[in-house]
Amino acid sequence: MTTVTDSVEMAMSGGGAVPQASEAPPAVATAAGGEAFPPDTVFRVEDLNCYYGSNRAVRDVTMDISEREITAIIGPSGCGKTTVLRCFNRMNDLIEGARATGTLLFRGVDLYDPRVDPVEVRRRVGMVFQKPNPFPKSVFDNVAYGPRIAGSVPKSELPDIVEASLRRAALFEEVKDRLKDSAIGLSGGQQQRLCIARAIATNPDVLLMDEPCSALDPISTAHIEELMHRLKEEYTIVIVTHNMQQAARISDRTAFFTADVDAETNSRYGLLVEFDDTERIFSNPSDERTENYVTGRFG
Amino acid sequence: MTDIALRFGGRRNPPVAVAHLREIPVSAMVVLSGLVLLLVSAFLPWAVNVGSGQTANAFEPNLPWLLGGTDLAQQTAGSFGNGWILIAVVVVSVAAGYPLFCGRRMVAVPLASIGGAGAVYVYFTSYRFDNQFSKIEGLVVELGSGWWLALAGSLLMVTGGVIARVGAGNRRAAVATTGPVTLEALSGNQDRRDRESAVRTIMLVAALASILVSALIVLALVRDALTFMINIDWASVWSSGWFPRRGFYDIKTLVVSTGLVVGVSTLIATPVGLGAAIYLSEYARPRTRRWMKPTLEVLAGIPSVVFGFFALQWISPNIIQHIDVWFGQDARLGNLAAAGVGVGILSVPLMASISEDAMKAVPHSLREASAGLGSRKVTTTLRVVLPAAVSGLMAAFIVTTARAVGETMVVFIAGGGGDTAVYTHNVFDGSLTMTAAMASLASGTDSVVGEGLTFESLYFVGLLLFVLTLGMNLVADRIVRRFQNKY
Amino acid sequence: MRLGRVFDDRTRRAVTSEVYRRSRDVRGGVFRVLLQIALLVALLVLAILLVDTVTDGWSILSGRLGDFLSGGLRSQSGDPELGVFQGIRGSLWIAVFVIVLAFPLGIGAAIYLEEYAPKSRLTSFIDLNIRNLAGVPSVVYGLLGLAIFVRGLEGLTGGQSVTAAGITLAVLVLPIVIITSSEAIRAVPQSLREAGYGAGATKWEVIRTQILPYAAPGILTGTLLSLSRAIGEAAPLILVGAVTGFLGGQSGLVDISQLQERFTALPIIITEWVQESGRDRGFAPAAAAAIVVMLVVVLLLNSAAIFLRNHFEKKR
Ligand SMILES: Nc1ncnc2c1ncn2[C@@H]1O[C@H](COP(=O)(O)OP(=O)(O)OP(=O)(O)O)[C@@H](O)[C@H]1O
Ligand SMILES: [Mg+2]
Repeated sequence: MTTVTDSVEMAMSGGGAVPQASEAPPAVATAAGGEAFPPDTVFRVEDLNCYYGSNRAVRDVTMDISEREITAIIGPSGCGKTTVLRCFNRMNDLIEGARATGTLLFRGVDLYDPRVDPVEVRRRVGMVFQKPNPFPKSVFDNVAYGPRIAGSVPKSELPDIVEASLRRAALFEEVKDRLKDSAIGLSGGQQQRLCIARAIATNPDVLLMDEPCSALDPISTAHIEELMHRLKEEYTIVIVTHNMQQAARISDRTAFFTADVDAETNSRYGLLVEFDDTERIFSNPSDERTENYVTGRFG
Repeated sequence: MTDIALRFGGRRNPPVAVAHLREIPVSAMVVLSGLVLLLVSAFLPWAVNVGSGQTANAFEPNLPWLLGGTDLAQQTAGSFGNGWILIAVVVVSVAAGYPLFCGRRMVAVPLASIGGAGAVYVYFTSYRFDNQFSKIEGLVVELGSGWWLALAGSLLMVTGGVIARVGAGNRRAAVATTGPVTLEALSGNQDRRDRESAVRTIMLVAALASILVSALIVLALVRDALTFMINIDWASVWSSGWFPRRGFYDIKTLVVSTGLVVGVSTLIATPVGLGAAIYLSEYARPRTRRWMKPTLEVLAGIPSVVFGFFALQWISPNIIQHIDVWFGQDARLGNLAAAGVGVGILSVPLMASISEDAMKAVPHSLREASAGLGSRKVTTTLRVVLPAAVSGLMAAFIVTTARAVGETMVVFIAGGGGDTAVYTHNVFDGSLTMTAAMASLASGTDSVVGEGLTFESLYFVGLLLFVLTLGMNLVADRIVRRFQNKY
Repeated sequence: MRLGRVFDDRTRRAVTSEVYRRSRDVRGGVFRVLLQIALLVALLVLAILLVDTVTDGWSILSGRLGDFLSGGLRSQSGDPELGVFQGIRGSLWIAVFVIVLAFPLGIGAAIYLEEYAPKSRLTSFIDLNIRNLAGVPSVVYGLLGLAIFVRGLEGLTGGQSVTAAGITLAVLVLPIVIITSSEAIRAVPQSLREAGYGAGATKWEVIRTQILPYAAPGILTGTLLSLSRAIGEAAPLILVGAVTGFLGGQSGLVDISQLQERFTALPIIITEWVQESGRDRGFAPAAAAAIVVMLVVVLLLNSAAIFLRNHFEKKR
């Protein structure tokens, strides 16, 4: 219990803005049950159920997402990959009628605790969307958006942050002369990397990516995959992808989802079939459905 | 305090005023602004009076005046109870202001109910002031400017409060996204939540304003219309004409001439509007559409007085006064037919745009299916598109009719009615429609005087008109909703 | 979508023309001509109206435009000081009231309805209410103004004043502002909202930094249209007690002390002069000239709005 109090005090006295605090290792908090939360686990999902209205779209998902790894989520269309991913930063709150039950711990904190402010979660868990969606503003304003609204950095530091984020997104060299131009003028691949830069500008803990390459050509895709490899050093990444080669190439662990039909209510729902090291999923899966899917016999 | 200093990012102290404003409890701030409002409006007329060196009517500051109880109040406001209104305003603004600051509904809702009830009470207890235009002019201005300044002052107070809280909240909301993840860190902060709920409340209040407007309309109409209906001798409502200042309020005169005008207008608006809509939706090339639609929109934007002028000065002499002989009539310059034609022209763009939307909503596949069966374009249009769009066209027709019923200026100018009208069912006569009767009652002389219920008759006709058009619009709305769901 | 439509049209025209070639389609031709006549009638009326008005008013517009713009209400049409200045002043103040009251309220309501409102009974009630308010005849708003703003809040407005009139017209255009702004906000792509929320913005921040800038042209179009509507509206002003006969006091255009005094407005002056023209023919050209003055303002606002909309529609 002492650890909890410590971290509470730290948070209260210093917020996050105190430099020393940000360099401190992640505090060890306790899960709801009371046992210690493993420090290298970012998300712990237990019996997660997602509903749209009364329709239970995803059933009983249980998985752990580890720090500084790329976790891929694969599966046929409509099996709830996006739904689960959007639980991690509570984007589903924006959809009327969507709700989740079960446990979703983010470094030991229950994300669905009524006291949790989803905005705060989204600042720590960044998101990149399927279709590149830069703001219709300048490249600079796009990247500076997060820090600006968070209000955490003085204005004078913004250019540095923007440059650093663009560099980490491997975009700076391409756009350094057009920082003031509209982001809409960039190519699709550049736009997507800009969105990544925008997501990492707030220095999040985790990056969620929902089919980030599905709207891109192979070369841009390769760019982004390379980028993810580098980002892995600093961030925990969860990626949804339809491209199985991509999942095999870049991810450390893979979760395979599939859709099933409830015999009683005759409604479709998604479920997690298998979650394991990527190598095992693609070479030696333990579930037959996974094998069928990864070998292309299904979906 | 230390943590504020830290969060202000290096600057040691936040602006002192901001910090101190934040210390004031919100409720105190609101109550304070209410008090200031009261005081200012009590003393300001006097201060302005003295300041401007006027000595007329030694107007002394006295708080009882606020309550509408003194002689002076009688003199200035005609025992109208201005003070009560003021208090109602304060109560309402307190009620509205409180949740604005802290988003506590459990407190705000009862307060707002009290404020609302107070306002309604004031409204219904205030009675008509017979002598409203013979006031001492100087005082009216002074009284008024007091109000203005008081309002401006309280607005400033509220704005200041909002800035103090929202602005400071924004600063304090600054929380770096690094650092340990704890429940506290993820809970965000109270300031930001306050700001969000304040903004939400402001927007909600704005949205509720529309309901307030409807309530006010009903309230405004019902009170005086009720007075009319209770006190009227119903025989005078079914007599030989509309002579409001002599106590004859023949509704059928108004209704029949309204019907005539609407009939003529429909004869113009329906074929022309529908034809234009069909052409634009089914036949016109994109290039034609590109300039045709804006032109129709220009027509739609022309104010109705202009059509009144046009109907009286051009349509009547150039058209109506030529064709009246066909019917064995001799029309004067102002007549219902001319007004009807004017209203019809005015309604064309409305009819056209709603009908066009209705036809556009018909899926392309239907047209293609028909064309695929070898139908001609005219057949496709008449047999497939129009039937599919029929409910939308109905709605267009009803809305246009409602618009024609409510049109005032064209009929008032070109309808040929004076202050009074004898019953007629001849389009070439001049008469008063419901709207024109209202306008002529209200215009001309400064206040509506005459037989006891002349003024109230205005509201009675208004209520009738309101109910009629509301009913039509509701029906049209129903129809539109239905056909929207169809495709 | 647009391209698809053009292509469809062209193809279909090609096909149908093939079909038509075989036998002359008399019925179709007649129908088409009828439709064109309908449209022509509408355009012709517009042309006649404009030409007739300008020619009627030409003697004044070309002869003494300056005096006309600075003159006041007079009982004789021959009076050299006859003019529309007081009307311009009244209409200007009405426009100010509409801008100050109706625009913020209307846009705020639209934001609430589109961004905040849950799907509830209250929301759909507000929705229905607004749609019906837009259909209430303008005279009825005049009655509202007379009962509430002229008589009820006399202490605040000064009775039959430009304040009462301004508030009344602000209330009148409120539903129009709400409806058009709602449409503009609804047209903001969902992906933009998601991007904002995903970057950790709160609802208000997303609205302020993404939605409002994107919807601004649409909102502006709606507000311009409603402004021109307010400037051209006469019926409520008659009820609220605009002055028609003679109005004293020749103060400046933006003299605040006028706000609680009696007033007149351009459409009211027009009405008055048209009606007077039966007694004194000289008022007819004066009315026409006043119409031209008003139409210049109203049509400028309208064309700006239409242009803005078409421009931005094309761009997106
Ligand atoms: N906003 C929504 N409202 C209602 N149901 C929804 C909504 N979004 C998704 N669903 C349903 O939830 C289920 C899962 O959808 P989800 O988008 O998570 O699938 P997915 O695995 O991401 O599919 P894809 O690979 O096509 O993106 C689907 O059956 C879908 O119909
Ligand atoms: Mg998906």
